[in-house]
Amino acid sequence: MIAGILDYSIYVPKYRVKVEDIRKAWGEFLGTGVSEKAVCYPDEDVITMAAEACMGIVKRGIVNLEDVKAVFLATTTSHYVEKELASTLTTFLGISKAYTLNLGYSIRSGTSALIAASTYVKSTSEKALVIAADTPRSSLFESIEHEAGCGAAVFVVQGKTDDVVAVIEEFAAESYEVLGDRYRVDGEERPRSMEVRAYNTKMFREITSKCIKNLLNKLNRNINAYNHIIVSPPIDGGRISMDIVRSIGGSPEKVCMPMISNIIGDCGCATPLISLAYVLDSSKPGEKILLASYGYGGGCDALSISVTERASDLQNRKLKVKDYVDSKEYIDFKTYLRYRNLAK
Amino acid sequence: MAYIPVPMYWGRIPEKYRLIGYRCKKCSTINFPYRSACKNCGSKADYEEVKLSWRGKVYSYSIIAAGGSPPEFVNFERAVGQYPIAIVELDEGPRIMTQLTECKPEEVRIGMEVEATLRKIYEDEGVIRYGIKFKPVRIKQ
Repeated sequence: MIAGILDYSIYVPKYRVKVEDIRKAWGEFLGTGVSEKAVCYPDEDVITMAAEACMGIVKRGIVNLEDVKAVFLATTTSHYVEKELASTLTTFLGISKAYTLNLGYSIRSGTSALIAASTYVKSTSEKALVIAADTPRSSLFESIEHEAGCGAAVFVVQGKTDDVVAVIEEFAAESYEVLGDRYRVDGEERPRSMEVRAYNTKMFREITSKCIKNLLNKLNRNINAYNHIIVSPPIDGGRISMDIVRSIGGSPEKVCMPMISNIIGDCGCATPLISLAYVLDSSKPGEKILLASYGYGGGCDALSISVTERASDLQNRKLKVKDYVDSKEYIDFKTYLRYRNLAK
Repeated sequence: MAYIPVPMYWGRIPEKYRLIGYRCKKCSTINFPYRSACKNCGSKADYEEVKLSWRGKVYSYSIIAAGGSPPEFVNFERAVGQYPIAIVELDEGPRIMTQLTECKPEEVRIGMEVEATLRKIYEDEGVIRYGIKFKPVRIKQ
C-alpha cells in the first residue's frame, strides 16, 4: 500500500458544443471518438477550474481542506510559463503553509502528481491534495483543437488507510524517447503534431503495454484481476486502449467505455483522473481498478487501485461526476469560437 | 470591480479570493469590503476576520450593454456580449457588488439564488487578476 484516497471531486464547465455543429460549420471534424465537448466560459482557466473542483470537496465536507499539508498541481495549459501556480490555490483555500509542487510538460502529469503526492504522504499521517486541470487548445486546422475539451479533477490522499474509499496499492512507470507525436515549443501558443499516426500509435501501444506489464510484475498479478481498466488518453475513441489490454491478455470489455472524454472532450492531464473519479463513483467494495496514463513524448504511469468497504458510501455522495457531466448548456459554433477566442 | 493597480490588489487578495469579511468587535456587523470604520456603528476598525458563505441572492442588478464596459472588461464583453452585474446579498447580510457570470441578461431575477466562484476578473500586462464572481446555482444539492 502506498496511500489512500479519502475523497475526490471533479469540475467540468457548463457549456458544451456538439461535434455535429462543428462539422456542419467547419465542413469537417478532424477528431475521433468525441460526440460533444466541454467549453470553458471566457473567464475560466485551469486555475479557476481547479478551484471549482476543490469547492466540490469543500461542499461535501468529508475532508477539511485546512488539514491539507501539501498541494500537487498538474497542468499543461497554464497562462504562465513561469510563475508559481499552486499559490493561487493555496491562497484561495487558506492553506498557505502547504508544501506545493507544480507539474506540467506532459498530459501524463496528472497521474505523476497522484504518484508524487502518494509517495509524499506515505511515511506521514498528512493529507495532500492532487489537482489536475487542463484546457488544451490549438488551431481549427488541427485535430487537437477539434477534440479539445476542458476539466479538472482533485483527489485527497493520505498515508494511512483509515476512512479511505480506495487504496493506491502500487505504481509503475515506463519512458522512452518519442519524437513529434504532440509537442509545444517554447514561445508558441499551440501544440503541434507531425501527424505520423502509425508511429504515434505504435509508440503509445508499446510504452503503455510495457508500463502495465511492469505494474503487473511488481504485484505478481494477472490483468484479469482488475474489474475496471482505464487507458488514457482514449486515442481513436478508446479503440487503441482496448487493443493494448487485449495484447496483454485482458478482456477489452473491462476497458471503461464509453470513455468520459467522449462527452467532455480531451481534458489533457486531467483526463485520467476525471476517468478515475467517474469509475470510483460507481465501483463496489473489493473491486480493483487499473489506471494507465500515457503522455506524448513519451512516458506512461500505471497505478493499481483497490476499492475499500467505504466505497459503499460513495453511492449516496452528493456531487458526483455525473452531476457535472449532465448539468450542461449547449452553445453553437460561433459562440464556441468566441468563448475560446479562436476568431482572432 | 473597476481597474486598480497591482500594488492595491495585493492588500485585498484575501477578500478577493476568499470572501473574507470583517466582523466589528463592538456591534458584530460584518463589513465587506474592508472599511476603516464600521459601516454600522462608525467605530474605528477593530475587526475579527470571518469567512463568508458562498451563497446569496440577487438584491439588485444592471446590464452592461455592448460598448458599456470599462476597458479592462472589453475582451470579456467581446466574448460573451452584454452581461449582468449585481448587488448580491450574502446569507450573513453583507451586500456585494459583483459580476454575474454564466448568466444571460434575460435570466437574471431579483431574489435569484447565486453562489460564489473564483474567476478571471481581467488581465493586465499579462497578469491575471483573479477574484470572486457569482453565478446561478448550477447543481442543486
